[in-house]
Amino acid sequence: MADPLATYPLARKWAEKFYAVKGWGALGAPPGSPGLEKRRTDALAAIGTIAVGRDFLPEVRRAFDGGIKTLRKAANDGTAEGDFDVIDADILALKNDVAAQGAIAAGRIAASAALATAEGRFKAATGLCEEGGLRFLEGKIKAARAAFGAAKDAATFDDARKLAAAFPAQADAAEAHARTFALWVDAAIVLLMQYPPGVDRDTADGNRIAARNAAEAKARAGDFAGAKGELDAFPGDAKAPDFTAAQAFFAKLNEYEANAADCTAALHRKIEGSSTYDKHAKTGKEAGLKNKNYAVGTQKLTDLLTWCLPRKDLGARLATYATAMERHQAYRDAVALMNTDQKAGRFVQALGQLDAIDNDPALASEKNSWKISSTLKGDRLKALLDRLPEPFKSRLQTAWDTHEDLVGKKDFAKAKAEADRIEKYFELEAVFPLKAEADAIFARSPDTKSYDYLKTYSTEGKAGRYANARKEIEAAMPLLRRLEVWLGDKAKAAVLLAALPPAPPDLRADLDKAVNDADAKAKAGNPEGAINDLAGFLKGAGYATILAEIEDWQAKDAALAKRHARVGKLMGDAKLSAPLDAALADARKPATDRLAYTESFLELVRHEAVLAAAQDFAAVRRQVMGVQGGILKAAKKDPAILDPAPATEEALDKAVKEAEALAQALKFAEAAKAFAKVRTDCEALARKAAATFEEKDQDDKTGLVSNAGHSLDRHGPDVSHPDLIRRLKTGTPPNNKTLEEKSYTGASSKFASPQDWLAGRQLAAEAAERQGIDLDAKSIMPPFDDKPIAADFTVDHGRPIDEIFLGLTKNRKQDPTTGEMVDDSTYESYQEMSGLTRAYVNFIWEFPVIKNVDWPDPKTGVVAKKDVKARDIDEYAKAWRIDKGHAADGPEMPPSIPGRWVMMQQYPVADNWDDVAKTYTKDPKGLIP
Amino acid sequence: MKIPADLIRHYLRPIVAGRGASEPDPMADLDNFNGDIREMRRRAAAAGDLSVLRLALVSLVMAPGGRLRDFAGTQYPFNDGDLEAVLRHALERAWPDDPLPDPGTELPVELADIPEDEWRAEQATDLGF
Repeated sequence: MADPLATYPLARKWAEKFYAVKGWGALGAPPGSPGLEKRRTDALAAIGTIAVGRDFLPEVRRAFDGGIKTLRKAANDGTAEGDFDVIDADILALKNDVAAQGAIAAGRIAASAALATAEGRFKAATGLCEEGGLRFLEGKIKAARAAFGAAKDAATFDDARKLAAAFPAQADAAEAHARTFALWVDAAIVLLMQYPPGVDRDTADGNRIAARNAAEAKARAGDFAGAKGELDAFPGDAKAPDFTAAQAFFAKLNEYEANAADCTAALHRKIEGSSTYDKHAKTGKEAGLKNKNYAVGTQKLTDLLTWCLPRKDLGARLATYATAMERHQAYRDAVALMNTDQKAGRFVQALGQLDAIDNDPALASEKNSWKISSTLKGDRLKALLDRLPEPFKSRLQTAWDTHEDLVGKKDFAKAKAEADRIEKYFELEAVFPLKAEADAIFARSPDTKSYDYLKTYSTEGKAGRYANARKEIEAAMPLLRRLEVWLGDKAKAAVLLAALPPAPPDLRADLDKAVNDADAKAKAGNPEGAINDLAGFLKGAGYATILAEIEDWQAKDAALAKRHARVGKLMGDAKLSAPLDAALADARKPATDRLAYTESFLELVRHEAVLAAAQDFAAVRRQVMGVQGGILKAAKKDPAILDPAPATEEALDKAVKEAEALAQALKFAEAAKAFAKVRTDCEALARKAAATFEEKDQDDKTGLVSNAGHSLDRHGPDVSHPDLIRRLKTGTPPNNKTLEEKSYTGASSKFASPQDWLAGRQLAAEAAERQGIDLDAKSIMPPFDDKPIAADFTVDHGRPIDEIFLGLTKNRKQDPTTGEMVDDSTYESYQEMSGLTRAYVNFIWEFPVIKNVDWPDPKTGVVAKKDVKARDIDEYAKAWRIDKGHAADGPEMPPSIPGRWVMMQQYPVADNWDDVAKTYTKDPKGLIP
Repeated sequence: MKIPADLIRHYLRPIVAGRGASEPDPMADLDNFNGDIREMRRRAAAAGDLSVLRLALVSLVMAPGGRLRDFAGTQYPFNDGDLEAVLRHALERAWPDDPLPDPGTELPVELADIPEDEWRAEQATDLGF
């Protein structure tokens, strides 16, 4: 946002008045006539009554505060009574503006809260809704967003609030329809198989699609009852009762799937009756999914759930006993009593019968040893051993080995001591992350150490009492976290103390005392009390205005520093970013040098606009550099691109140099325009260069089709929206040669221009070179294991480059082997996003084809002639060995591996994209720049 | 045990958005992903993250708990079954000598939204006694 006050004209007016004032440091006018001084006193008193609400946005709050400071200065500087006619009028105007803004703020806050709720509901609904419902909700949320964005006064904010407030109920209705639709889809797909193949089935399928489309049309309009009516019209023949039964079966199947883990637990073989039901899931599913006997399937699943759910706790408890424990009479007795109770439906009592096992010391020890042997072994033991230093590591290993030996001998009496030792060391599993967090807090806030919250941890640990050490650090961590907050508050109070006016003196003394009192509480182990005490004091003691000033400034400064760093990265040139750094330092100075936070805040607001312009400049400059590099690189593959040569190259070079000269002269606005013109002017060249890269990547000179070179066809600027959506919904790519050709994707996207595409490729290629990857290499030399055969990058262009359709809910299909309903590779619904600034680019090492190799089929072992296009170094080496007459799995390796780098993918990135805020919420590892 | 989810996404990127995922029918042959698996392993080995990558993948295949889709990317519409099969294949190829643990004995791993630098600091933690 270039101007954060653009939509707040009332506040902006006062910020501008503030900016216009010079000589903030100057003293006020000398005392004048009694009449003049009365006017001055009255004016200052009137200014003192203007209260700027905490509900205002920080920018608005500071702008009005700037107005107050401006008027106060005017009142102090006034030298004639007549001056105060203007000043008094301004005071009244400011008062009225603040009041009017107060009403707007109240409306904005209410609308904003309603919109936030609506956005949350929309986000949740996107993963559930079918196409019609989603489009309906999308229309509603967009309308609410637009109304909020355009609102300027209390009435229009209220209109926006009403639209947002209506959304949750609309989302509820759409989600309810989505659940109905999901059952309908699965049932319809299965029902189709009941029609004889051929005309009957094709007709039924046509009816199914027609019903689905008619329902979608009604759902799009929010007519979910009508949509259901359309779905209910299918199949509209004698199979209608079957269809109803099928939907009931799928509803029960969903219920079973949600409780499958509990059912598995309840079907423990020691629970009498379990054998009656342990095949019900399989046979129930088969009945419905394969044999289309929905009533039987539903009944089986119902019976299974009815029997299992009350017994899930019994099953879970029985699973904690090893099978070997059945040799004990006491165990068998307890299980028998448990069965008597559970068969009579006394499930609580049944569970209680098993307590006899756990209460028997010998059995409990044995149970524990079996548990240790079965659950702490393998990765869990290895992970702890890897982290433990000596001598703990050797001690744990010895205890483990001894315990396993004794368990093998069923000597559980002796094993107990080792089990206790092992458990003692496993206490440390939980200690590591807590100690790490404590260390991180100590590093961030070194003062936390002096509060001595970990008193006995180290002593207990050194004494080998790890459980005690764990207990202490577990109890201390919540306090330590809050102590860090307290120390932050204390530091803020120190800033406040420095910023307070010298009079009245009590103001400082009172705050100082409050901080010291609260700190004493923190030192006594009560950081929460310290936090609350100081907050309470500050609320009631008239510090709020200055504190708000400091907090607003700190938040603005932190946000701006982050953005500033990002723009600096985009510039990638310290000389260019130096004036921007200086401007930021200047904007900060009033706060850092004179504790004038409002003044600095408003300077930061101004800097924000400068930063936005600088980002535009940096982004277009960077892209143009990429485009030029890409064109020149492509011209090496096909010199005709630069026809007529050398004039074309020279003209491009001249235009870029002229724009760069403006940049180096720090004339960013002019440079941005010049670079933008270059960018526009070289569209045709960029188009040719991009096509050249793709053609060369497709042509692998082996006679086989390369998978590379399709990015432009599928994501290029000429791809239409319907083509993008078709790919998502059917898998048919935009460049398909036949209807059978498929290229499924989870996100279908396009670049806005060939320049965007070319710049992304080039910037990624340059990044690869910086990593030491020669994209022009023709072979890989040994040793092969540490050589990259792929390189991928996320390139941030710093400006919008593309549009994307992101797949949401998937279409469904029946697995032909298991009969289960599973997600298909195509999508029922999608979400459109725009303004994305990042592209994912990957380069892959493509191996050459080795022709006519005697290749053994991996499954059957049958050898047949094959042209092998390897997908990995191992596969290439194997084909090479066979080709050279060596044993297929022999030790020989090729002296080098020929091939080439191709760009396999380039597409816009939607990961972590917030389409409302139009920004990424996280950066991937290795983001460029 | 907590492991940064973004770190695992980084290592899985060659698999979910690389050579295999660019095949017309990626799931027709799991060997389509062999080069990607090699690349994943190479990168993790270079960063000293092989053990932690294996623990994360074991956790994802043995106790997926609805997490697989968070690691599937958008290049190819892997469903949960697809991705589990690819990751099992990756574990077999990249760690041929380390079989999967018995069900229920895998290390509980939380793939968390935590900064990588904090996690690395945690890995180097000294118990202090």
